[in-house]
Amino acid sequence: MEIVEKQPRIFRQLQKSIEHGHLAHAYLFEGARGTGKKEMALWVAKALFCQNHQGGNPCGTCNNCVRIQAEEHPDVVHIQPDGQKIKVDQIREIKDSFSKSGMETNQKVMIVEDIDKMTVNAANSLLKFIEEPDGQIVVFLLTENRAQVLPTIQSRCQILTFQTASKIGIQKQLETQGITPKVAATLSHLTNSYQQAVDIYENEWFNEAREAVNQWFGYLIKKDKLAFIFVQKTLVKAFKEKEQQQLLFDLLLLKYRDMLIAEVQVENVLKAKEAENPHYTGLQIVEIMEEILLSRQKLTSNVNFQNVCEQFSWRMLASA
Amino acid sequence: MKFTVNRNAFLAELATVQRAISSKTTIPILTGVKIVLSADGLSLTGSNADISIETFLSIEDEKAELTIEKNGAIVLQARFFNEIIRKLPETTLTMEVLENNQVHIISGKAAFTVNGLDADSYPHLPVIDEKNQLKLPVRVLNKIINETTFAVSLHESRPILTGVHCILSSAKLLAVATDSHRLSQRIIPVEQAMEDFDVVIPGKSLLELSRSFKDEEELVEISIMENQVLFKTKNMYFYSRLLEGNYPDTNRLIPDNFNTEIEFKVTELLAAIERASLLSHEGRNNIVKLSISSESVVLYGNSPEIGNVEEDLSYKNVKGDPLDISFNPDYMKAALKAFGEGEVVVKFISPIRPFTLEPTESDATFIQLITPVRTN
Amino acid sequence: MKIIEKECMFVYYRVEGGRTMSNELRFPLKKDISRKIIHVDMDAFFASIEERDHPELIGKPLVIARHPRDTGGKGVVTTANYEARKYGIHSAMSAQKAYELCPKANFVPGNYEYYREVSKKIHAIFHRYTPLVEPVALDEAYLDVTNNLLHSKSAVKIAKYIQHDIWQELHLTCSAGISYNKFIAKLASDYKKPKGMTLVLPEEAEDFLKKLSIDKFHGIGKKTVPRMHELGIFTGEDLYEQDEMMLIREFGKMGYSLYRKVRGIHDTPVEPDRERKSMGRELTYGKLLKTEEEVTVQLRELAEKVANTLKKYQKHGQTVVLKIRYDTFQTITRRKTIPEFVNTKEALFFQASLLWEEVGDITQGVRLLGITVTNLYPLTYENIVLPLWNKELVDW
Repeated sequence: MEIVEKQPRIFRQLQKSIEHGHLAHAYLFEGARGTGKKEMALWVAKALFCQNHQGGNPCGTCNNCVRIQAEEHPDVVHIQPDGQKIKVDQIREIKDSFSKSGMETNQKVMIVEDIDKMTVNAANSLLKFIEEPDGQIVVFLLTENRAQVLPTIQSRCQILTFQTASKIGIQKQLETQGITPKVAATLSHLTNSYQQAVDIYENEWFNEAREAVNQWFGYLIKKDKLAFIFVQKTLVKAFKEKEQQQLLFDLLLLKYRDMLIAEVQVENVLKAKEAENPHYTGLQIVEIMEEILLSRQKLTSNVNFQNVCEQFSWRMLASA
Repeated sequence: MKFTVNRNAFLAELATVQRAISSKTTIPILTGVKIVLSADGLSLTGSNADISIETFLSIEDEKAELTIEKNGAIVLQARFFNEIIRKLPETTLTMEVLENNQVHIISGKAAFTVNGLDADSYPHLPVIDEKNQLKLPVRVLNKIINETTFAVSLHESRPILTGVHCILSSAKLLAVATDSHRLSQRIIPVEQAMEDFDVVIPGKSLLELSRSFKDEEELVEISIMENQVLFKTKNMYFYSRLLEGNYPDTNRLIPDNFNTEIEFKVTELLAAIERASLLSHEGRNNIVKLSISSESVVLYGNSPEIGNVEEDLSYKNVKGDPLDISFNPDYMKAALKAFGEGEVVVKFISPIRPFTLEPTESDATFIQLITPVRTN
Repeated sequence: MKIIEKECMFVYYRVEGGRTMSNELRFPLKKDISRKIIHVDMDAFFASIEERDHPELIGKPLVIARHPRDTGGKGVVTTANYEARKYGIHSAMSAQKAYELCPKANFVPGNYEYYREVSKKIHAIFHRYTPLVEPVALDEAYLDVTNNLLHSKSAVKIAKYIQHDIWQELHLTCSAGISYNKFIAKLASDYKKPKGMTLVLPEEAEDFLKKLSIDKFHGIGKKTVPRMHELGIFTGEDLYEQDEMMLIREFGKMGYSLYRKVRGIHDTPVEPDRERKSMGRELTYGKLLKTEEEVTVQLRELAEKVANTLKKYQKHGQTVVLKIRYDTFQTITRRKTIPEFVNTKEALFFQASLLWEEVGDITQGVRLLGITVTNLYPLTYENIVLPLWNKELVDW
């Protein structure tokens, strides 16, 4: 998805600023991972350096655009924290960028990722530069954690908030990548971040997992004793890590939720077809969903995975 | 790109540009050396983003034995490439750029194929304006650099003070550097064939420049572009970025009224300061005291745990009020060394005001300022 | 009762017949009574100097402070002469309050440079008798005259000579306390003032200390006195009765020290003031420091302690050194020299935390931190700096 689609409002705002020559010299981009902060900064950099503008948009193919995208342009400086902190050497680099002229032209761009990881001392030493930079420079400070950014830095920047896409937005995005609507829907429910959704999807294991959940669900609603055996035979082997185990219950929850929605949507009982699935009342489904949440909680408390699944299976099999 | 060249000549060019290449770079491609071949010859470029050095091996240079088969350009990992060339067996080598930026290097029976990078990804250095240039002998430029660069600030708290302020105006080139504790200013008359300029050049760049000059008798051409300064000699282009911001006005800091003046022989004063500072260094407090009266001039160094030193200085003339003044001997040493041989006149105002040093036959073209330490 | 004494911490008492008594934390308390220590305390030093130089001030209340009407009520009393003290005026009181207590008092601002010069002359006199002179502020000093330059066995004689010399040459009076340790000597000099001389022999020490009011004990500050009173401790004798463990529990290290002091045990030597090349503090942490916040807190405290030491010796320095010892016992130091002199706790903390950021690694667990300042210069030394950024005209 293009940055203009991901963050249309911010995109238009910055585009206009560039057109009118009103770009601020310091921006704070805040937003979750995957919301396009770096992309946006790179786009502005390209817009400033592009040799071949096409109606207010950088061409993307000229030497400058290409180098900027590859993070190889000497006057577009990238700073990332080294481990947990932005260290002194990097601060020096930042100051250098501020105090020296550009290498190719007078224009300079600086992109600092995770500015919240900068120590108080370091941030304080930069205030002067951010407030009154010498020369032509645009600084982009990126953060996923605005609360941790020093107020004195925030006050010197123009702050732009990068919203996470809505669930429908994410689902649509995923569908455009060729993911089937059903899976896209599932993914969009699992996470708020498009990027994470893609990560989960691309994980081959994800498909295995979905398969396993579908099978188990099938046994569970039919109260088939195989549901219990399935735990040891398949689930334990397929869901090895804690995150995966939690995902199992998340996916299972979604399946019951779908069932609940279908249940609620049936207005005309007479019109309801003989469902191939056994019938549960809305109330029953809700109770089951609570059980699932309880089970998920047990996992967080480090109760043994196999035990949790087997207990859950018994409960389902034993209930009226 | 394909060419053949004399190995030693090639190595010499590589060595020159290698000075500007550093392993700590802002973008990875700067660890490489850029090689460009055109009908006129072969050019090599190395850069650390702050300084960039370009050398040129002309097709007409006999020692280069350059034969050009096909023009082109490529970037290769500098250190590794250098090692390969050094160890090649024959006196000549052939280089050819193949598809997908691979490079063939052949010399005698040895053949290397190494991966290169697209030369288009290498930073573009600004284009010079051939008309607007200031010409100076290398010897003179070196002198200016030696006389001023030592006084720049080494601290980044005020980055602009880490550079030398260079102003061209009214047929004079003025270079001044200060770290707020001492200042050095040199003015030389020039033939001004260009517009005035007012720039601040990083001290580090000037030091490196001074070391890169091969021939003191050559002329160097200085051009100022939008964001870089270029020093051009016959075969080398040396670029440096400039420092941005406003350099403080130092003219108003140079006093013109004094209360005490003495003349010294530079070598004698320097030797005495060196002796006195032995003590202050050992005792870890960097202060010496000068006591001036109409009969004598005495230099004191004192360090309670170590001991003390006292030296009656030989001087030529003393004029004005008696004075006791303390200062950092290292600043004085650096200042005196910049004078070379000859005689210097030192002028004072009071124990808490800066004092100046100038050569005796002064025409105000070279002046240094040192601030004292207040001790009471 | 057979006593089995071990070299280590516990003393066991075994009663014949086999019952073991409780074990107690007991070090044999040794009292060193071999030394001869004089504490010299100038009588109302600054005020006396002013009276000496300006005899018209004698006999009237004199306060060393700027007159509150000139300072807008600000300012604090450095000291006052004995006449003024009768009105309840004492040092550290606000000048305003002093004025209210005695509006007719003479207010003279202090001239510390000058007092320092006078103090130097007094110390020169001390040094005629012994090299072991430990100054405490400008108007007090401890002298160890056990082996003195007159080869005299009588500390009293030396004290008398000193009093005499100071009066003859400088026209100033002092009080002297003589005993076998610093703690008692100081209490003794305070016992009779002005122009007093008090000798406390080893066999008299316990009685002397027991009779003293608890607030006279050097080391027990304003905040501690009420706590002592709450515990029923009003005199040295009350303090003597207290159990050592209880004192340690209530007052920590000070309790340990008081237990010994009231028994006449105080072994701290007289330390002459040598020219120190560096000043610093370091602390070892029993509980490893594991978070950045803990390090920050400790650095602040260390910085404050070092700043206080610098202030006491009137120094500032150009180089700050940070020492870190990790759990692995790997120790690193890193230093930074700055163009300006520093001596405030804020500046020291700032530099130390910059150094920590450069090399500190909290994941290793910190066992020791130290801050030291070297390249020391007297506080009066000031680096003159060119006014580069000041846009006003320069007045050379």
